[in-house]
Amino acid sequence: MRLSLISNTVWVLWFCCLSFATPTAADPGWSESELALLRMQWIGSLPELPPDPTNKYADNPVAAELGQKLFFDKRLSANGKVACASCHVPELSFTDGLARSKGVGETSRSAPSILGIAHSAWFFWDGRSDSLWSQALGPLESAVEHGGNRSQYARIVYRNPVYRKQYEQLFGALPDLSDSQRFPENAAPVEDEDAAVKWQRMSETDRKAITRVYVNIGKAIAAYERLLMPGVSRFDRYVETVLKEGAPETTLLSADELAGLRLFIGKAMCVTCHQGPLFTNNSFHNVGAPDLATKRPKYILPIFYLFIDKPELDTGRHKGVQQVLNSEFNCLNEYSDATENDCAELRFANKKQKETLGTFKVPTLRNITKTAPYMHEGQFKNLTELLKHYNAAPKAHVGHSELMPLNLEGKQLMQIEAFLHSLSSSPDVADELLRTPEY
Amino acid sequence: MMSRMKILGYYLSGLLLVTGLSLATGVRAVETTNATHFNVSYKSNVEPLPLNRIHSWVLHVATRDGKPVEKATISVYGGMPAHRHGLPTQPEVSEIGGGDYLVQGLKFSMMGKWEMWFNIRAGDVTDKVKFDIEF
Ligand code: HEC
Ligand code: HEC
Ligand SMILES: [Cu+2]
Repeated sequence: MRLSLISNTVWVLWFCCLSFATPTAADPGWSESELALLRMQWIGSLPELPPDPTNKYADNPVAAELGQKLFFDKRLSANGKVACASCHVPELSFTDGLARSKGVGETSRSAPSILGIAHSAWFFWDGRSDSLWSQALGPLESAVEHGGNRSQYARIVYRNPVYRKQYEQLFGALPDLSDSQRFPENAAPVEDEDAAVKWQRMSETDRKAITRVYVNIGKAIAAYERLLMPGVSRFDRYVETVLKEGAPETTLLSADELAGLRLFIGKAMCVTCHQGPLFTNNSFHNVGAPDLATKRPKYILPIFYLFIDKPELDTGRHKGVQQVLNSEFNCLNEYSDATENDCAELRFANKKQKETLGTFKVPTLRNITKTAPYMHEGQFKNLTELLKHYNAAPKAHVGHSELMPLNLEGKQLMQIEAFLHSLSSSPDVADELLRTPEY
Repeated sequence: MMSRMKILGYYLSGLLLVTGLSLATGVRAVETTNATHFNVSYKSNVEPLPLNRIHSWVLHVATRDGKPVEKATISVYGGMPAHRHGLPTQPEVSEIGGGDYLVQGLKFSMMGKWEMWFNIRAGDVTDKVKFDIEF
């Protein structure tokens, strides 16, 4: 008995030492703390979707149905050619393959994936929206995206019998828009001067009536977006097996992918920000992605600068936090259904300029192979380039990068890249929700 | 010959001995206070301390001999020194009474080591307390 106790102790010590050696691929011998991290990243740990107190219709199935139609409807644009789905293509994990997205014009940023987006408290790379519905209202009136205006959109719902019926079933009677003197076809607080002047001439009550329809369009689209969730990837199946059966002799992940996973949650520290089942903490960080404004043409004769737009550095959250605080559609405003207590994220948002400068929202890494090019402005064409950036951790052009050089070898970077490939999955959504609905 | 499972069992129990259960279960909170005048403690409205979720603390401030300290002015700051960044939110402190102070809007958005500092001024006495938190 005593002997076996001693020999047990010896064994225990022996295996403790072993745990510091690199394990083989088939039996990766995850430590307890590594297992805790694997579980944290596993899709099975995704919490129930948090309620959205700013949107009474967030979980209403009729709203989601209407929202899906609107999401795919190109009529909601200045030229009849742009829908949300033009830049958020379901087959590309709801991105568009471009560095800078193109609608009616060209935007200054890259379209992020919106799978799992309803788990975030902030929207856009700079978090200038604090609800999914108010986010949707951004592109609709942006001169370079849909390029239209709220009066136009209200009228589309008013004229289309299918939209009208579903709208009124949800939100009550639409205002009577038949008088186009009172309710011009195009009027809104937008860049377009004609529409802006007409908007100013409307009475405040009429402006509010139109804005209310506009807000409800956003709330319906948000209800649809809440259904868009990523599915189970090869990585998730691996973790599930490990959690159930211990370190299995599995072929779910290759030796390189396993080594990459170990680096991801360990030495490379990716998991500190890309944390949780969606591989994002939905918070703002500075990783010093090069600002492309610094790369635009340099002229020897300064006179030429007069003929080009002065490139503006993208300060990210620094500007975004001011925008959301001043937004007519934020959590504390009249169009939000929330009470003040529901608005903690907004009320306690970090407004310190030094700390927010050059920070961007951490994007999800699920389906990363489908969402190139990478970063807020598509700075990196592929993952190889991106990982070189993380390895070197150069100084940021804007603010201060939080990264430290990783000093990994080329092979290790390749392994992280291999691991990232295991995060692909089909959306966990019925097929009918991934295309233009029939009606 | 020892079976594979048995080896694994020893291996894991060995690891547990070394790292302690605390690491595996997530958060560790340690008070390393350099407060000289006050005894300061906190209680979170969510236990264990949550990662990535806004929550609040009740801070209790007492003198060394245990009398509650009222009408103190308290400011809060913190962050992750190793990552050279501050808190992701701007928490606010308000007095509840009986030496209790409500700290609203706290959030720890990242894995790793955090520091929470409270500057406390009551009358002519100023003190500082630090809590170390690790996720
Ligand atoms: C012209 C292309 C384009 C169109 C059209 C477009 N988007 Fe986007 N979307 C983008 C870009 C680019 C961003 C990032 C912009 C930024 O952060 O400044 C974005 C961001 C988002 C986000 C935030 C994602 C995140 O991680 O925070 C959501 C949600 C979203 N779009 C939904 C929509 C909806 C709903 C519509 C239709 C009402 C729409 N988009 C129309 C290009 C587009
Ligand atoms: C300090 C927090 C932080 C750490 C650590 C971190 N990331 Fe990121 N990651 C971000 C942020 C923030 C962005 C977006 C930056 C931007 O657009 O400017 C990003 C973007 C990315 C993207 C591009 C995603 C897309 O859709 O465009 C990939 C891929 C990525 N990170 C992988 C990694 C890997 C791999 C590691 C570890 C080597 C890592 N990250 C470490 C914060 C972090
Ligand atoms: Cu940090």
